[in-house]
Amino acid sequence: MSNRIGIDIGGTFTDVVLLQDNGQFHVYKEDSTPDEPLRAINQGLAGIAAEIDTSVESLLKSTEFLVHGQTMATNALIQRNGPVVGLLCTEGFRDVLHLGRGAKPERFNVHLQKPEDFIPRYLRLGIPERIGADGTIVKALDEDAVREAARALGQHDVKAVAVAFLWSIVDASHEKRAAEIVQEELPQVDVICSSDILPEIREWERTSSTILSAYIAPIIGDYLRAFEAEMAKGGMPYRPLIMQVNGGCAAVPDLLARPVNAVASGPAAGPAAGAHYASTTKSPDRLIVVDMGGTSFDVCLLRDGEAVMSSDIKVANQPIGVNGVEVLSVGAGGGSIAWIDSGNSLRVGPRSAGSQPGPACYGRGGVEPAVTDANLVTGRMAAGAFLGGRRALDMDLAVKAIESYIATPLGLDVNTAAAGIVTIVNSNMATAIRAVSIERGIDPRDYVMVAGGGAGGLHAAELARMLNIGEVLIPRSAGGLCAFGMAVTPVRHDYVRLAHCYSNGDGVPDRINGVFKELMDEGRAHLESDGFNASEIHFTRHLEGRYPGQVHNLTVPLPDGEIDDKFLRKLETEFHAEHDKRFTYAMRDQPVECLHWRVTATGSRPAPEGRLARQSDGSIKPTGHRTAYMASVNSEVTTEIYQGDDLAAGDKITGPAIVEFATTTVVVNPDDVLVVQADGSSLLTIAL
Amino acid sequence: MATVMQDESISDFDPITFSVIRNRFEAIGQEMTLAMEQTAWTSVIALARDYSCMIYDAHETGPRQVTMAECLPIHCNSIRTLLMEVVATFEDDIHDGDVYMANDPYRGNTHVPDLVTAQPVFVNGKHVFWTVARGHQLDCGAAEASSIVPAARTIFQEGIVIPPTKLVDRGKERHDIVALYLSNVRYRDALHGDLRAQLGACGVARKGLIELCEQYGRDEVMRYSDGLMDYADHRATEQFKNIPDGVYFGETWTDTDGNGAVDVPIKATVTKKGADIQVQYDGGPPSTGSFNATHAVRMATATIPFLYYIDPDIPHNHGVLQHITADAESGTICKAEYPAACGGATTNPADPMHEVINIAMAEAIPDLVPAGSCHAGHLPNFSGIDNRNGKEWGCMLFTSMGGSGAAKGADGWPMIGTIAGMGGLTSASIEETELLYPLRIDFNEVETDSIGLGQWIGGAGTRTRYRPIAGEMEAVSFGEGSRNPPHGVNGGTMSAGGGIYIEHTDGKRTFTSVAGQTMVREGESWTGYSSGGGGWGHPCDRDAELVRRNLRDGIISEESARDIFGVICKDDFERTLDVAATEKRRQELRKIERPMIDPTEPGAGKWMDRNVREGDRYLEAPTIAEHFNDN
Repeated sequence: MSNRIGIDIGGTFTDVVLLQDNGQFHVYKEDSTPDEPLRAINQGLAGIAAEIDTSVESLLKSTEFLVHGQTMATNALIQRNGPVVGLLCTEGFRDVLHLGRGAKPERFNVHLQKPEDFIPRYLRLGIPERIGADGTIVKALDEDAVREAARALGQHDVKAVAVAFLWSIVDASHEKRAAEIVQEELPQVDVICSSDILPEIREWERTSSTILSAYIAPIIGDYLRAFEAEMAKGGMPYRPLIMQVNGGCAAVPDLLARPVNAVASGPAAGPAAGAHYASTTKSPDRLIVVDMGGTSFDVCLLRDGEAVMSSDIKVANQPIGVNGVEVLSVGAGGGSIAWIDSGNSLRVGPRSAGSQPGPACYGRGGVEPAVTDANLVTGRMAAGAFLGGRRALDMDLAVKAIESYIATPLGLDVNTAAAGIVTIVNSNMATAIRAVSIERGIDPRDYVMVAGGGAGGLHAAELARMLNIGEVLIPRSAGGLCAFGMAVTPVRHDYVRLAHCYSNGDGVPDRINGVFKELMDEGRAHLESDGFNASEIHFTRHLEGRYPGQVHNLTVPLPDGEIDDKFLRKLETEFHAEHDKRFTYAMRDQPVECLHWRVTATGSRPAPEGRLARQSDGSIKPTGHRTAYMASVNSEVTTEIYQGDDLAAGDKITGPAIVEFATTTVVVNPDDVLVVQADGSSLLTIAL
Repeated sequence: MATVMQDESISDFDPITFSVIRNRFEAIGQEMTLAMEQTAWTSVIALARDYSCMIYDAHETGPRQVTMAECLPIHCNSIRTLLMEVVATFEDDIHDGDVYMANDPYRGNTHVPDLVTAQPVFVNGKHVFWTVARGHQLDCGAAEASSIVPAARTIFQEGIVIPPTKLVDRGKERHDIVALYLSNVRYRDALHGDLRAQLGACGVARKGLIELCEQYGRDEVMRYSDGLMDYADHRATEQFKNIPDGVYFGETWTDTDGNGAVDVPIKATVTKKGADIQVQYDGGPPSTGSFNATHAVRMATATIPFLYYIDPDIPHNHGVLQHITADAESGTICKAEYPAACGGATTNPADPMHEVINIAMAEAIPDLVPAGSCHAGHLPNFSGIDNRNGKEWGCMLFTSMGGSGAAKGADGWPMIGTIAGMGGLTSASIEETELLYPLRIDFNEVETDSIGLGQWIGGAGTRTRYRPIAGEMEAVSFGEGSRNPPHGVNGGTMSAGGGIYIEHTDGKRTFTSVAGQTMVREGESWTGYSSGGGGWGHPCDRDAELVRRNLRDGIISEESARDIFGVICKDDFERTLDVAATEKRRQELRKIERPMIDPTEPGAGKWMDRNVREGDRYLEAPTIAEHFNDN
């Protein structure tokens, strides 16, 4: 048996997904336990083991890949409850962190307070040393000053020290020597060099990436080691893996070598889940993956089979520096609160009722109306269908909240107000999808939408219609989309080297072949130690460059093969084409100014395709009907209700209909057609 | 129908469609902005983001702003006049598929470098919207290779002046006009690229607006567009009414008129009645250089503060903008008269003209006004020939920008650059700069005591040193705000001002005004101290714990902590607070009355006095020739 398990801890729920080698899979949601995350994990594992009538121990014993996505790192950054950390930097540049790149947000809000620096200035110490852009040593490292600084930081009981010098990317010797000295002086603390975390040009991003690593290392280090021990104790024969922001996973020691990769990693599993599911759709390599949960709506893209990445991701206003799956997150979820502004205009979000008190219908003391209340009142959700019936929703409280906060003040009846809340949250989500597609020159009509999250199925078809997207796939495991993505994502290691040159320069092929050989050898060795054989290891290579003198960089994929003059001409052609596509023009008489050369090494084994046990015999029957609001016709219509557990592969349902699954509800608007796929997912064809 | 809406006109709308259409207008504005940034060729637009994108309607009373995406504040509330010029020029000759261009500061534009492109949007044969982009061009073919020539005597020395001109005629680009334009500017390829970016942005918005009209119906969209103006009007009126009616007067000084005069007064009389605000500027004599304000700039500097006095969530459309009007006394620096040069207008005298509104309003609404921000002045242009390869190089750097003023509840932010952008500017990295240009940066750090002090403190100013490492370089800097530093308000203190000096190989230094042109030889260095922002509120009201941290972090000196904040700390690494001594000291300091606005006199900046030492010299607005002669 070689089961796969994904465990995704979210703000509200901890999702556990089990994918068995026979293609059966199970999703289990458990309330998160932020004070002790392992408790929810153990409960979730117990829950899912019970579903297949086995024990946790035998479940773990038969598991080959167990991937865990945690939120501890992100939470520590947002809540600023991490340890005291020090920074050694080049003398004269101790404010790299504070000054950033300018660009204050919310220009017309003069009362906006700047977030505090992650390391206060007195713990950022300048060291006399300087390396020039060409690698010359302008000023030697003052080792005594390093020792003195280390002692000063030691007196302040720092738990970690970041070392980030200018130009350590062309010569890391000063950083390495300084780190040695700090470690000698402070043997108990984590010492982290910027040249190890992010060997890329641009000191702010590199310094930031390094200090964030130092900030979270002590926190996630303890937790992940405990998690690893817990799984081993439970009987798991393989090392568990940890989800990374780059969309792949890695073993605990690898992650702890670059802790920043653990930040914002949960939603990064979306593309992997989408890619796994979408093989039967009309464009399996062009996907818009959305995940609508309790507090946020996350959207990311799979373009030409690869997740769209960004090196500009910020958490708590701080750049993480490393390349990660680009996820746009907006405050639109089941818990988003509807409100009326001072001009009597109806608004939804970004404030959320969260899980405590939650929407009014949870009956936990929330009085303000949330999106979930609106879905309940408009008949789109059933009071008894939430969390597979494990939590009953209170219709009266939902009505009361919408009536008193929205309907009465606006002079609307309750159902119109509730439908309005649905329309507005749909509009907010559609804007987010436009931002990552249309605004980047990507036409969503060429894409398939994969919709996950507990609330995804309620809104997906309506979002697709607003963007003229013809197909929507709602995976059977929609309620645990990212947990599923974790279960099927490959192990991934990223490598980067700065080698500044022009594509028409002298000696470029030899130099870059050398760079790539080094990086690929390193990746191969790493993945072999992870247990992959040669046929399971795959490399992709990218170049980050621009036209000479240009401002914004562009990352282009590189073809396989040795680099020679012919390769470089091809590289130029690809660069021009990509530039033309992204920015509407190309400068074909110009060479490419090359900065960063990237290698991604992945190790993976094929995951089993999920499949439903039953085939359709054409006998699918609704279990009831009720009136429900359908956005495509902007009215409430009589709607047939189906139970997800009754569906068999090949079943076909034409809207208006609602299908209630254990972890999500799918709204099928009039004339849209839902066809159950072999793996149990729902493929909706939108009647555009 | 039971409704709490006070403005009856709003109740005619479906509140849900209302929110959705509002959302779409804002999204279309965003799409325009992004399209422009991503496709622009020059760093002025792609990095410094010196451009703005707007949607206007085609109302019979003249075009009215529907939305303006958050971009460069100094472009606020001034496109209407320019579009009215376009309408007046072409009247019935405006067609579907046309695009117009203009940059004439005497016909509604800010200054010559800001090129405006405007595209009418027709739906079912009716002209209903305008999509408008305004971008600062790297060059306009002026007498010198710079988009702004501080010493220009007339507009004829500022480059090509374009009255409302048809650039695209019913979908067909007028190649003769494009050629005429490009033949009059330097870097024609790059500027052609930026022009394409502007046209692309207008086109993106036009497409979005047509789609919106197809979805909801043209007349219905126009009705909601009007409704959105009423809505913004209603919300803004409510908040403007909280500002006490009255006639308010403020005065400040600009360092220079760009051509020799110093400490030139800038004054404003703000008449606030009900929900209407009228600003009348007054000031010193006109600049004989290019530092004269245009109508568009006056409208912006008078409007911007009133936009941040109200909830930033209120859409910045005509419903709000119509409440604010501005003019200036003739024969002053605040009112350029043809053919005076006015290329510097968007920062000089715009920066102090913006500040003087906050100065005037301070007594009436101290909780809403921020203290002064750094002005343009530390955005140096360096250029030379790299003696390693003989290649020409040049760059404008934003690495040494100053900070913004404090406001109630918030300290200022660093790296604001100029109040004209209010944080919209972006700097390049130290390493990228050193990689691309033959420069080394010795330091780029917060300068202790660069800020104004108060209950809330200003954003930090910086000290930055650049040295050429492969031959000499020319350094050009413009702006002001060092002799007359950003002001403190409501008991807060002014900030430090700052300055520039060149350090020669013999250790002697040549100080210059922030506007000037100098030569830096190999072995020499260029050092700039940018100003922090002013302070807000009485310094003794600042949380002593915050003062302790500021002292510990070297943001302020021991003297500032003790003598201004009244905070006494021990001499350990943590600077532990001496609570008893602090209380005693603060009691004494509270007796000292602090003015509402600091300073009260021109030329109050003392940075130069503190920093110039024996053997140094000072040059006001130097030119290269002068520098060579004297040296």
